[in-house]
Amino acid sequence: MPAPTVNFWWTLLIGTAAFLSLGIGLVTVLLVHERTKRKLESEKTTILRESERRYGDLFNNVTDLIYIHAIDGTILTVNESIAKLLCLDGQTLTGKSIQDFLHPRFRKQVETYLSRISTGTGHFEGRLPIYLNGGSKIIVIEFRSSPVVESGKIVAVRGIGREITERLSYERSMRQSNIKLEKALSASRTMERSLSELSKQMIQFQEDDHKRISRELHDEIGQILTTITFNMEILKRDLEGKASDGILRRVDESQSLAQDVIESVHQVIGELRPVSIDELGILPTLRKYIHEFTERTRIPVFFTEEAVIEHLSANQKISVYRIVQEALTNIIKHAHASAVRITIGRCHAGGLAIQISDDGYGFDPQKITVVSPDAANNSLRLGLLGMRERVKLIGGEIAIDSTPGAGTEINLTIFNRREE
Amino acid sequence: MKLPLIAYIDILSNAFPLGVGVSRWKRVKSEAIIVFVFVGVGAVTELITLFMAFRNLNNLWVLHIYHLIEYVLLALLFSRWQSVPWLRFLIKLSIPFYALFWLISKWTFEGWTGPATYTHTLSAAIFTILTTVALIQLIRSDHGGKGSEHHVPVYQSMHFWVFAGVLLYFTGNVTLFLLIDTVTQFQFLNAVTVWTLHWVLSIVVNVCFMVSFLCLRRQ
Repeated sequence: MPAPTVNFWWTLLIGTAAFLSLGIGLVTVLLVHERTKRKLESEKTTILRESERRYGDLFNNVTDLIYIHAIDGTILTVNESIAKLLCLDGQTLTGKSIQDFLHPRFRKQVETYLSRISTGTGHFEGRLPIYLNGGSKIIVIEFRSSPVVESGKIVAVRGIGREITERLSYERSMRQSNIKLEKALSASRTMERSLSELSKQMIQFQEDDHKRISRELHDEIGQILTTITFNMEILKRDLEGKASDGILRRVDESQSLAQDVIESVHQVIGELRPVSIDELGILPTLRKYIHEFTERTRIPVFFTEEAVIEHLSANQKISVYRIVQEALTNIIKHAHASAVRITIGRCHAGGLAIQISDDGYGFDPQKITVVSPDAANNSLRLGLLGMRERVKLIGGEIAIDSTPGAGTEINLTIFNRREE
Repeated sequence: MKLPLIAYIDILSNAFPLGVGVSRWKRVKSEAIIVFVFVGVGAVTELITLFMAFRNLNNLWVLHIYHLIEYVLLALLFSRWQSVPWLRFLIKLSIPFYALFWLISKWTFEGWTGPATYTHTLSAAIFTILTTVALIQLIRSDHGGKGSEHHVPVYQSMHFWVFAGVLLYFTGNVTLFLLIDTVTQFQFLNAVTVWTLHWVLSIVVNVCFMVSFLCLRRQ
């Protein structure tokens, strides 16, 4: 019987090693693959658990209401916010129907909602009143639901909601407040219109009065004074050579006094209602007034005319005159300026721009908006108020810019054909 | 005739899977029964051949029959655990073809009293390929073959241990089966020395089958 040869042993060894290593190798690969897969799964599970934990925290701690219900309306899960709102345990709610928390009259709406959401046509938004404590308390929920689809089939409905009871209450209050505010505003506007109308009428009356007084002064007193002066002249001629020097001197003085009264009356007439506005026009009248102002106060006024203003209406002309008059009066009373500049030009909108500026004391516009014990302040305040009212009446705009110690600038803009 | 200790350990090792199978008999259902029967038949065959060897009787014809039963049982088991339909059909179809080949070989080139050089080598090659395919399928999927447990680690799967055992057995033995003609011509001592490899691999297979029964879960 032969013994195993070396070749035999080698053949057996190599053959067995080759095939066995295939087997062992395959089994080892499988086990290593399994270990790697388990490790990956373990990591995925850890990540998944962490996500679930975070989601769970978010799900329960968010203030919004989050719910998942079946397509028949059975509650599957709700977050803590819903449980707190309904004063029930989350577990107790699971298994209940949505209908259990609604008044019977909303059953139809819920059925419509469930049938629409189960057809899977996108999300569904709406509002529903929820009855709590047996109907003694009602809260309103605004919600948005969308179907949960798995393998092409709707398996549940999930959604998010918010209690809006307070918000609705605020909205209702706001609406009522708005209505009241609208009414108050309307009344205020009506009053403002009435006041404006009254102001207009008062200014008109004032102008008419000034006109009447001016006319009466001119026609009656002026005439009388002129007659007195004339008679004094005749008396002086008659008494020459017949009366003593003392009597003649008295007559001269009386004549001079009468002349002074005539001039004063003319000045008053000019202050009340300058007739030259109607006869000569606004610009010559302004020039004359400015000249007299300069003569009287020794304050130089630099007057520049870059536009024609004779096309303004009678009311606009007299208002412009009064505003300039008021501005110059304020300069004498309050500003103590050394120079004044008045410019009449065109503005960008095609209207007239009139600027009156001085280098006087200036004032704080905030301090003169309210009544104060300071008489000078009140006088300035009323003067500026009067200017604003006049400007409004002739359809213009006025901007008064002043800084204490830095002078004052008044910008008046009159638009074409915007009289009120 | 004195056999080495490893031979007796090999015979004893049949008790491991059988013992565990019996202890978990309630869990032994469907394909696990085939494994149990396979191990049982193997154990009985070893005992019979050992008895006949001590009596100086030719026991090779017993092994021939055992090889056919081994092929049929393993083919049935593999077909039931195979998820690919055409492969399942092919495995089932191979049973009658192998049986025919086996019959022809017994009555022609192999005979009843000689070693099963061609038939056993062929079955070894076939099951090496089948277990390789099955293990690769296990690597690629979570489930493994048809009827396997879901979502358990592969080393807790009965399939894995049966496939591993069968693969190690046949890959380790295929060269030996090919050279069986030469081995039967050696002196007893030399033949027994060579056959030690087979006994070792048998013990490994029995351990694998024992673990496979341990992996059975409550139904």
